[in-house]
Amino acid sequence: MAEIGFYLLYIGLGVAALSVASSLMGVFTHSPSLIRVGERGSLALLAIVTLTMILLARLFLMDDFAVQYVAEHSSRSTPTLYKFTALWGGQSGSLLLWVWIQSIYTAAVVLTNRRKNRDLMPYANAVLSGITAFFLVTLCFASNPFLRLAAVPLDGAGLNPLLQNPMMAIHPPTLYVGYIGFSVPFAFAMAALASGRTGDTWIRTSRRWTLFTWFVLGTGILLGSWWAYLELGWGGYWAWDPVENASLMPWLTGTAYLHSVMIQERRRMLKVWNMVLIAASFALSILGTFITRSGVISSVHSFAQSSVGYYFLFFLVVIVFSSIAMILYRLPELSARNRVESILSKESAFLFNNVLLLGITFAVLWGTLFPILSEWVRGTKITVTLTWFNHFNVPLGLALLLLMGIGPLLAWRKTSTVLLLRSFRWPVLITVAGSAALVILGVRDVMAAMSYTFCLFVLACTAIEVLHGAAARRRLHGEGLISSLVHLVGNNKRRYGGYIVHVGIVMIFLGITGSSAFQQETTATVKPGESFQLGPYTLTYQEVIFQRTARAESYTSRVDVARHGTPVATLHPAREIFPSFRNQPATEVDIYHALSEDLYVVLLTTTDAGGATFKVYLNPLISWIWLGGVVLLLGGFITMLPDVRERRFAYQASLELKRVAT
Amino acid sequence: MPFNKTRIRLLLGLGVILTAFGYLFISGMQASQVYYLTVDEYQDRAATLAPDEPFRVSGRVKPDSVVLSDTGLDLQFTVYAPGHANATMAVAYQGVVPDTFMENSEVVVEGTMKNDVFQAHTLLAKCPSKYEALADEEAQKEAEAGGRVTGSDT
Repeated sequence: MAEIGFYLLYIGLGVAALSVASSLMGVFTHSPSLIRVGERGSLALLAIVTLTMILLARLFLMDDFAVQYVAEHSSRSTPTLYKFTALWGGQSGSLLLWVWIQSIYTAAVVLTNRRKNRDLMPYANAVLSGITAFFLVTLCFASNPFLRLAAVPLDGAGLNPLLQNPMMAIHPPTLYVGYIGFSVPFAFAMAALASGRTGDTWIRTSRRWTLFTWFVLGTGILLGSWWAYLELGWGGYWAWDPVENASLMPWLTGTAYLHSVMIQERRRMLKVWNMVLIAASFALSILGTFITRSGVISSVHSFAQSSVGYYFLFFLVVIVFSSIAMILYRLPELSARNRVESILSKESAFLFNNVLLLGITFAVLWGTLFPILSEWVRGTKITVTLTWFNHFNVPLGLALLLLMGIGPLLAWRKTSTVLLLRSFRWPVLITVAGSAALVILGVRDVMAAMSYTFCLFVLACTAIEVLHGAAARRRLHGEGLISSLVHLVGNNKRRYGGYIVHVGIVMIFLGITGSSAFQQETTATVKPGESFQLGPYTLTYQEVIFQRTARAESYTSRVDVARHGTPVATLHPAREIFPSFRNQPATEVDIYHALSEDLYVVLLTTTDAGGATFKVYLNPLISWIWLGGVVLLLGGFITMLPDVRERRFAYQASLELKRVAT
Repeated sequence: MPFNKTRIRLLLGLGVILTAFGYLFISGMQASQVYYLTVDEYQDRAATLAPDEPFRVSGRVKPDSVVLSDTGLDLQFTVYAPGHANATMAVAYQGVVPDTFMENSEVVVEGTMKNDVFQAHTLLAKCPSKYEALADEEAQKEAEAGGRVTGSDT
């Protein structure tokens, strides 16, 4: 069976290459049948890759340790769920998952677009199939998951217990779906450039794909930081690790793109810029893969130092240069028809938003690549510490936050002074009052105070903007407050979904500010019955219970928690040891969640006499990060829903098309 | 291209932002650069480093060198550079020890050298064999030893 999988990958590569070739030939020779061959090829490719996925999954379920990849990532005692997740627990399996997701995207694009977008589709299909072909090349020639071992082992090495976590089933695939999704708008952008149809069609066609990608990548980043918070036991959720950075960068440029396309749609400006942004987002996704797999940058997420990374580097160079070449080729047609007319306009707010987002992306990229760059240039590896990321990104993040309040209240083209005063009167008053309250409450950290103040400002601006809209509806349609709000959002999902995303971002800012500026921690070595204190909390250690199962040995403690003297929870932080896996220890933290703060308790050691040492963190407002994440995703979801305006637009466009055709 | 008022204002705004970028860039780089060395590179370079200059070192945890206090907070161990038999460095660290810290695991420590002991304020240990690093080596060793890939009984 492993042989079938091995050769199916080669067949897949052939089909992908055929798909690229016949799509392009079809365009150049004006042959619809060749184009159709290309499209069917993409569908066939999905079938082939799906089959290989099934084959590999079966090999895992059958414990076929003759296959090297299975032997290295699974074992007889691995629970069934983790036999599945082990499929992407290693290098080549995760590449196969990548190809599978890519071919699903490609087939979905073909199926939803082949009747419309006749001009763009052959090119888009060629680009997408070309990307799939590249991944198949790495699978076939550098990292085939179906390779067999000369000597068949009795049992496999197993999956590290630290990775035997349900998040392992969700998190990597989510990130992949997010990363790979950028290939769709990228393909349409390249198709627009190749076909010369550089209008808004490619943007409108790929809008929902881009939103989906942005949404899923955002989910992946949030899940990753949540997982790190729950599992890693250092009380934090983000460490500016290269692998984390790699996922953040395309999301940031994607965010910039989602804002700047609005200028193109409204005002026919920034066409080149949008092309650059979407190409950059896709290139950064690939760069992320290169970073995480080549081993050139050291990260706590270890990956094999393998040649696969250099395939990605090559691919990255191809993407960057072909994008630049295509954009230059169409440069004359991409010139803007309009200009920014006033600095007090939505256009200029979006422009500054883009500059700031790109600035942050640059800082993250620079900090991530600096060790390699310094080694090339100076011959010595020099790295930047966490200080770099915070030093650069805190002020930029704050400026971006401020802009998030201002932007939505500005008008397109030009905001009159009267309107400006009227719009910002209340937000500014509320913000001034709020910041006075902060000073009275004793917040002395300047950056934190600024962050809270700006958060309040954005919320006030957004609320005013939404209430204005609702008030207009109430006057026109005589609706109640709630129903007017619902209709308001429903009638312009894009805009108000966007505002909900903004509120989510504000909540995330609150959480980040609170937990990073005001975190407290303590360490205590205690005997049963003894108590210790952190902030308003009293922790009373009761006992530790030892348990031995076939899988692990565990020490589970019991700690009673009281807040201002009132009992609120009993926590069970624990330590586990997996004798079957090189005595791998695992810290199981326990957390008391409240809206105002988390009490994060880590059991460090226990003594035979029943004593224990705990590390405890008090993380103010940290839950707001995850709550904000949920709000952000909800807003993102709303923007993706079908929209009346959009349908009207599409209808008009189709009428236009018919008129041209007849 | 006419330089009207809006254009000048926009350019001014961009100029302010870019100046801020420049300032943040220079001050940030000054504040945050540290050498990133392997244990053997450190030994070659030790003489040129200022006494309390912070730096970052990567290496592997030497087997049988790990001493952990009863509280689980005071950790002492030795790191070595694979392939350089004499390149070792004593490390002292106070804080939460990551689960991935084990003998032979790859670690990155950041701190300063004091009396020939590296005082680490951060300790990173690589995530487990997610992408094969350790499993590969073990498989190789096992394969050499007797053509068997095992993990469960080592």
